Amino acid sequence: MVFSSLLFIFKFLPITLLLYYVAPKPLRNMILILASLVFYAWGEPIYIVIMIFAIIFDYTNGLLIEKNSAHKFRKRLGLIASLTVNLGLLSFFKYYGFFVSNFSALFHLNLTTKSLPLPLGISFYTFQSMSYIIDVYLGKVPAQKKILAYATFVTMFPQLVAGPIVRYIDISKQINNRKENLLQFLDGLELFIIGLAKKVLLANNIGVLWSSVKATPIGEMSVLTAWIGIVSFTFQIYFDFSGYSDMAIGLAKMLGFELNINFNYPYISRNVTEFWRRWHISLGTWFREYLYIPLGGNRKGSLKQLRNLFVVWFLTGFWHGANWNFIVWGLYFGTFVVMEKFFLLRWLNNKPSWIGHVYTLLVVIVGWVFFEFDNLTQGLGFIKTMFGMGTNKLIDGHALYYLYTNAILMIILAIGSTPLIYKLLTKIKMTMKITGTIAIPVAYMLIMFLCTAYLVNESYNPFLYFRF
Amino acid sequence: MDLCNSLERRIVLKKYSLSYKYLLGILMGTYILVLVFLNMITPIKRFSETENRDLEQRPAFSFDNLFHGRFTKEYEKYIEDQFFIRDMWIGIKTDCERILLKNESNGVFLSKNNYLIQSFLMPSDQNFKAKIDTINQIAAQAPLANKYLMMVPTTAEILKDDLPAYAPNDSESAAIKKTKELLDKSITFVDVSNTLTTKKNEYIFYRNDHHWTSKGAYYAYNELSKYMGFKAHDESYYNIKDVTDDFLGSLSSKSGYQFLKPDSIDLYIPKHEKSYSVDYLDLNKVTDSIYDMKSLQTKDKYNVFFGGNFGLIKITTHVPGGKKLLVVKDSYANSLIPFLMDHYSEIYVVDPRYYEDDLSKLVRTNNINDLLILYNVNTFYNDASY
Repeated sequence: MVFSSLLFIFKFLPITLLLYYVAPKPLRNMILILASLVFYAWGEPIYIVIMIFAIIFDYTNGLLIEKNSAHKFRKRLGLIASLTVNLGLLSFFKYYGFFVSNFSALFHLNLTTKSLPLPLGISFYTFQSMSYIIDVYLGKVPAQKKILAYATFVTMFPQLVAGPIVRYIDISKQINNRKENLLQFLDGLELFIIGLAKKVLLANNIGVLWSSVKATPIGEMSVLTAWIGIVSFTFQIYFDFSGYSDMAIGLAKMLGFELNINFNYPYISRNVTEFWRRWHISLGTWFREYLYIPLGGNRKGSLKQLRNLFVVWFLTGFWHGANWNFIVWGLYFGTFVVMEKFFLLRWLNNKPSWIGHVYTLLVVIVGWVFFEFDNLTQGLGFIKTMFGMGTNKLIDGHALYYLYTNAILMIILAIGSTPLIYKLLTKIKMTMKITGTIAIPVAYMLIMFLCTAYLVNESYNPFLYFRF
Repeated sequence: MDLCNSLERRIVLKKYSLSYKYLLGILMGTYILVLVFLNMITPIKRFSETENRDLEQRPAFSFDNLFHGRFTKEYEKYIEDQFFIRDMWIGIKTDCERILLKNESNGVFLSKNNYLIQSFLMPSDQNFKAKIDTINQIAAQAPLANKYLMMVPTTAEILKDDLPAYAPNDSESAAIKKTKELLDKSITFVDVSNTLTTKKNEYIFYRNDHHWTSKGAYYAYNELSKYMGFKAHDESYYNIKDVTDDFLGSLSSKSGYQFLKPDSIDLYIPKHEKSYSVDYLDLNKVTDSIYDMKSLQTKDKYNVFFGGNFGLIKITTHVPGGKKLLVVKDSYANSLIPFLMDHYSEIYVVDPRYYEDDLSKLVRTNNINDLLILYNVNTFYNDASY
């Protein structure tokens, strides 16, 4: 099930919220777990058992680790067991095909694999579970005694399928001690509508342009078309992912939970290091806390730091997909981060800020090419086209058509990528009187109305009888 | 004093900055509840006229269905297909896109004059050759007849000047040119492009449907007569009857644009009406009219011509002379054949998509004099997958 669907908005959510708030407080976690299991099983009736198994396993381990906090060996065993199971499940379902095909290519064998369907959300809930086990092991947080409370943490549907990656330590107190209140609920509602609009009205629409460009044979593409295409994807992935995160955080608020923000206007960054502090913040935080710092971070000399950075960026890329292009994407950013750490940031500091903005956007946009093209040769071919290094025309009719039929949308997307609207809205909310108090909700309802129209349209499927 | 006022002011403003949230909650809650309620009480629809397909019904529950993921998929489809005032929501979306200056939806362009124009994608050389071969093969079934091919350009060609600027669209006239080159020499190519182009400011194509109007068919008939050797009637020979003003056809369905001006359909009825019989050989049905007026109550009103497309129809007129015509066609011919009924004693109408018998046998048995192959360029050649 996805948040941006008629089923979720007009059936699942109203029913779940009703049951949740009608139920007495002690039962609410149970209701949340049950609803979340339905939410998960809706798309994944079989693999839900894997998640349930992981929950029981990690919960048990957490208690054992804490019980044995004095015995270093037993404590370690518990940690390794949980990490192995979680990473093992992830590797098996997500990376099995990748490992086998690379192994096979390396040794000139001809192994083929039956492709395994990827269990929903496994990249997210395994990481969430590991955050729990590691923090319990390090003594940063007491183990959760009640299994239902632990299960709430793993399964809660707002962030179950597509993040943000919530660290147990961040919501441990909220599991049993949250006070749902109306203002928080309403804030969540507002955030949900914003996220829905970002996904349905903005991301999905500009995505159509990118699909069109991506399908164009590289030889027929003009330079301008290539840029229009990749810029469209740049917008699409931001509004899609941040929209989904907004919906997740909004829903969490409606259930009384406060989650950390996951995106902070990444495209206004002045350098790549800053970009990664604003993009998919929960992932960056996870890798920093549970990989970079345990490996020693920057506290063991430059050489070790380089190694640590290499590992982190390799895995950041790899986490996104079981393919070499994702690893390249991760290492590509890692390279820039390293360069910035060692000299580039100092150089940028003396330059006017627009240089930093342009530099960052260029790096990010080119990066998305690696992200989107599975085949590295194709990706490089696309980049070559972008920079006029092929035999492609500079401008053609297609490019102009794409441009003017998407110009207004692009302007909206560009403005939406900056904090401008947010700042404006905040200012209005602070100083408004009756007109504003009515206008803002009405505007949101208009947006909701449009979102409904676009959602209904997704299932539009005319049978074109004039072909038959 | 000042401090008091400013504090008061801030308290009042804070009240407003909170009140909007309450209003949002109330509006949103009402919206969701109203829609949930309306969805519950409106009856389930079986068929969508706009989309020309059956709508998903409530799926039957079984554990088997559930575990294979079928139940959940069907249930979700059921919710979407049965959503309250579905068609209206779709129209809102396409209208919203028009505001954004998008002028294309699902392969259909919205022209400057609010004509919906189906885009044309030229097939590969290989596919093109295969298609033109089918025409040559049809002609080979009637070796002794006079053979004609009318390949009709659509709005994508005739109204190409009204297309949105830079709209990606291949050239139908290039397809026509290529057709002429690859056509068997025994077939006479009937070129109606010029005629239609000179009349393009008249209502010769429907705005919301991919067919030509009866007027467009009339001009083509006029042109055809010069090739086939009979004298075409003047427009004054006919009573031009407007049978509907409410026609929203194929392109309106395909694109989803709902709120456009509908089309009207005219029937050219000869002032001196003559009797004839129409024999639908696949259905074993004989009627006395080529017009299926019941179709005007449905969405696809173009079906008023013959009720649609069938494998074989035989029209017997009382025209003297005994000349016999075989038309092998797509739906464009349906509005042109009425004009030919004054010039032939028997007209056989074959749609190869539904006709399973031996065409050469039909030609021999009935001593066909003239063979007219009639298609529109777009449907015949278009390689775009829908």
